Amino acid sequence: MALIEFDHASYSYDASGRALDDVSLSVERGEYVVVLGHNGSGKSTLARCMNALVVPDEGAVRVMGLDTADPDAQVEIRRHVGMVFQNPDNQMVTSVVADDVAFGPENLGIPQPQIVQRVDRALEAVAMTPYAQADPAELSGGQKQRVGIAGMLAMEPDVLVLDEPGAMLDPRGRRGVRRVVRALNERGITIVHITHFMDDALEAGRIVVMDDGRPVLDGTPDEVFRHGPELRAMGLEQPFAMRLATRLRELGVPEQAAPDTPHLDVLEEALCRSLSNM
Amino acid sequence: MPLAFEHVTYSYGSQVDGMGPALDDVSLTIADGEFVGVIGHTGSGKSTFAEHTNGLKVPTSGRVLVDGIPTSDKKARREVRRRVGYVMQYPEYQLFAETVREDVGFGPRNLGQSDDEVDRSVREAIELVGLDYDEVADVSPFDLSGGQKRRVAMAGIIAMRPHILTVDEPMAGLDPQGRHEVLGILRELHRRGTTVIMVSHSMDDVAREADHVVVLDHGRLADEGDPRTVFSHEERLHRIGLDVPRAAHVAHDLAERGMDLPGPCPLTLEDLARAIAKRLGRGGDAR
Repeated sequence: MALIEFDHASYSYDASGRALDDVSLSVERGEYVVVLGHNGSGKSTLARCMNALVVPDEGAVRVMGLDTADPDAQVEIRRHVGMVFQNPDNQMVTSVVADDVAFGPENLGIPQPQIVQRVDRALEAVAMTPYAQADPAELSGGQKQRVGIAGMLAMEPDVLVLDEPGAMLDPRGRRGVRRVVRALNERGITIVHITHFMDDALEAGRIVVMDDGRPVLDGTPDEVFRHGPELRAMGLEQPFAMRLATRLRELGVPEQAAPDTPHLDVLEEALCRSLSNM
Repeated sequence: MPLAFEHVTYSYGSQVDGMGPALDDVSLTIADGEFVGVIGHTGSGKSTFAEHTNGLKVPTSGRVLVDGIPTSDKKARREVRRRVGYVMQYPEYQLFAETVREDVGFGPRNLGQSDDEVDRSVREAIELVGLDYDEVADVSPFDLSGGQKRRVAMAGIIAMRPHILTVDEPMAGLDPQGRHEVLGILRELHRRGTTVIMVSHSMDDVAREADHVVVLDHGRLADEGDPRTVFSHEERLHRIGLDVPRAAHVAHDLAERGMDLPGPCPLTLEDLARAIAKRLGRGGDAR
């Protein structure tokens, strides 16, 4: 059984059009899925369907077999699927960072010593340990975002759905989150990461590109990023390595030396190999 | 019309233990017509710096001078705001009026522009941010897409015709297309003579656009200069949690793998591609 399954799911916020349009896809346990798409492509709605914040008008979304439209199943679904949102201000509830991170596990009825452990681990994972006793209101946007992520990590969900969590983080913060997310995935937590950052996308085993409420590309980074013209037409861009390789070929470097790959290390190796063959 | 920071220190009212002032003895001058990139990791004081450029925050000690006018002078505050426009992070959250025309016109009207002038400023600003005036003027800003809202919010500041425009993370949360559009707006304003001060996390954008880079760390001025100089201080940047632009990073990797590139360290994809092509004997200099 798929962990998350979209079965011909459609959803409209209003009469102006469908935010999700007949989506069928499934996420298997242990996957690391990145969802790309321009603003308004439906990717945030897709994320919100995964923990029953949005319930489809037509079709169904099932989490571990539980129908998100079933009101009796929603609490359990949200225990399995943790959401991290774009704007952490909406997720801050207390005046001390550590209490904020503890809020979720406390609500789950976890014993106090375990909560302390989880909070410490979560704050360390997002490099916010020195701020454990700070007031969230005193933190910058990026710092708040990391506390928001720590709050979700402390719940230890099966699936972590991240809706552009890195939008406001600096490169170091984003790398930190990426490392945390990768480590969580290696421990078996399924990751669905909605992002605009190609560096984030390269981490994934699978990329789903949304456009007009539908998944239009679905595959490994190598497969998906090969569709340069389609991606550009959708307002997206290829990763740095592919743009560099394209420019190099325009400048006359042969394809063998500048292959079409999203991975910088692969491109660098090919370039150096061609140099030693000269 | 220079902007000068003189020994500017700013402390928030209630300091969290162990955290120093948000700005700590910052002195620097920004000349007319510059494109300034302000970089620093989260909590480095970038936003506080931006808020000081138009008097939204005034120093606890030291002075900020806009064309010689201290921002702390309450009587001159309006004049300072007229000269320096400030676009905060996620400015679209500040949209409030019923139509785009009213929202964009709010600032210039407040500055005392006549009705005719306001109309002209609004039309000009909306077109400058790449929106069709006739299409959007009477639309509710809340019916626009995220990227369009961002541009309307920027137009509201641009309509006040500031000589200096400070933008705090103007591309945050936008998709690649939206980022290109916003960068294009800033580039065009700069081309028309506006001094642009851009706070950004993107070293690539700063390396490509800025001619003056300001590096903040723990509220202090950690480095300052043209992009080539600042980004050549790789170790210093790493120490304070920042990166070099991706092109420089790749050049570094290639050198470690035995491919040294000719010329100065490339900061942009285009420079990098040309240097590699040249190294591989493909005459990267020819266009």
